[in-house]
Amino acid sequence: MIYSKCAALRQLYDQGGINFYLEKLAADSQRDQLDGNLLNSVVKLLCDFSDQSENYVEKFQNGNYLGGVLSLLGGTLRLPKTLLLNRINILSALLSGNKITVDSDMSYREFDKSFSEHWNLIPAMETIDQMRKDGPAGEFWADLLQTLIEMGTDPMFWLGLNQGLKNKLANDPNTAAYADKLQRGGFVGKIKPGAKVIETIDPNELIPTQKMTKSNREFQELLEQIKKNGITETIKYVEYNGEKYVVDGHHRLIAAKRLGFTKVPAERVELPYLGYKTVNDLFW
Amino acid sequence: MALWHFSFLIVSNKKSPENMSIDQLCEWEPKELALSIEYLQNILPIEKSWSSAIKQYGNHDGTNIKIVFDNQQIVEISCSLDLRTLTKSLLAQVLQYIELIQGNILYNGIVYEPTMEKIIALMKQSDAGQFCTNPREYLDKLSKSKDKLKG
Repeated sequence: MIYSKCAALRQLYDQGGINFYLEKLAADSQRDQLDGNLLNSVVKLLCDFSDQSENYVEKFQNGNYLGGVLSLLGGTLRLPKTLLLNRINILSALLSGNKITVDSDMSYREFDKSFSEHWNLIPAMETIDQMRKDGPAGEFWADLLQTLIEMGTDPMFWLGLNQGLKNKLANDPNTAAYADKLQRGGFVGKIKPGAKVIETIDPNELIPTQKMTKSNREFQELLEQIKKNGITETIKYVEYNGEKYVVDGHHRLIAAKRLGFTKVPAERVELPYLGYKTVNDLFW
Repeated sequence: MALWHFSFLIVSNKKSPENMSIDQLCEWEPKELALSIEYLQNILPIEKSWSSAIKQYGNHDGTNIKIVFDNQQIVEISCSLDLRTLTKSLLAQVLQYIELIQGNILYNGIVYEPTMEKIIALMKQSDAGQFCTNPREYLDKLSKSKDKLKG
């Protein structure tokens, strides 16, 4: 029987149990052969220590997968509220296998102190060097940390998380596999616009994947905007069999070519970009 | 526009496509939409568009309806459905909006009535539908004909 996440969600409502849904997703993650399925890899981890949460379902339904994951962890994840929006933070905590509780009154200082006590902090570059020796998964987290430092993020904040990850990676091959999945899920590429993952490339390197869908009038408007302001949003592409296929930004690419641009801002993302479903999922 | 968007134009069902150009077919009188804006805002909250000539309801990356203006004249209404996250209830609400303004769907140069069965059939056949169903298969198929798309 072929089932989907949405069908599973429907059954969850009918049967009133989150565990059913999680079990389905766990099975799904094993069957799902699409590399880089961030959601499934996270959910598979969550199955080990989940609580019931209606918010999870609601947020998941709204398409906010990680928001849903966070809600699910409401009882066991302890972080200052201000940090809850940071997905890397949450995922890092998840991957490190630490159960932390959400505490909206907790100050950043308290949080930092608790992490420092929990994980032995060592200087950033030393951590990075050590992590690189841990193989592909370690390299991923090293790259992530390096990126964050280059972006001006407080490295001390990340060190605790990454040190915890490093400890975990050393003992748990499954965690390394998840980290690898996350890497292929393009998570680093979505940290923040302006990070080093954004590149400028020759527009002729990008292969369109769909025809023009904007009307002439809307396209003319876009052309004028780009003529005036340049391309302000990156063109997203996936690399597949050595070629770069555009998944978002076809009209920006067409406009750039018409205007004779020799370079365009581009960002590599991975498949699936967010976790797809099929039109059949509409029939719950 | 992203590859996961199934996009079409909404045209008035009072107009006959045989007797006018596409541009004329796509135009609307602002008063035709006046009573339906509140309904639209309830299903797709208004968001800032990349252009001052466009009123955008819903997120640019997700499901959205855009009303394009030329001065005070509405020159077109476009709809993009995000097939990654679309639910049947949201689709039903979008179709209800199209009915409310007495509209039809203009897709690939053909006018369709806004029924659930028809739009789902179109979505399944669309690039977006095929891509979301199996991204790798879609790219494999595309790579065989990529030279046609290049340039």
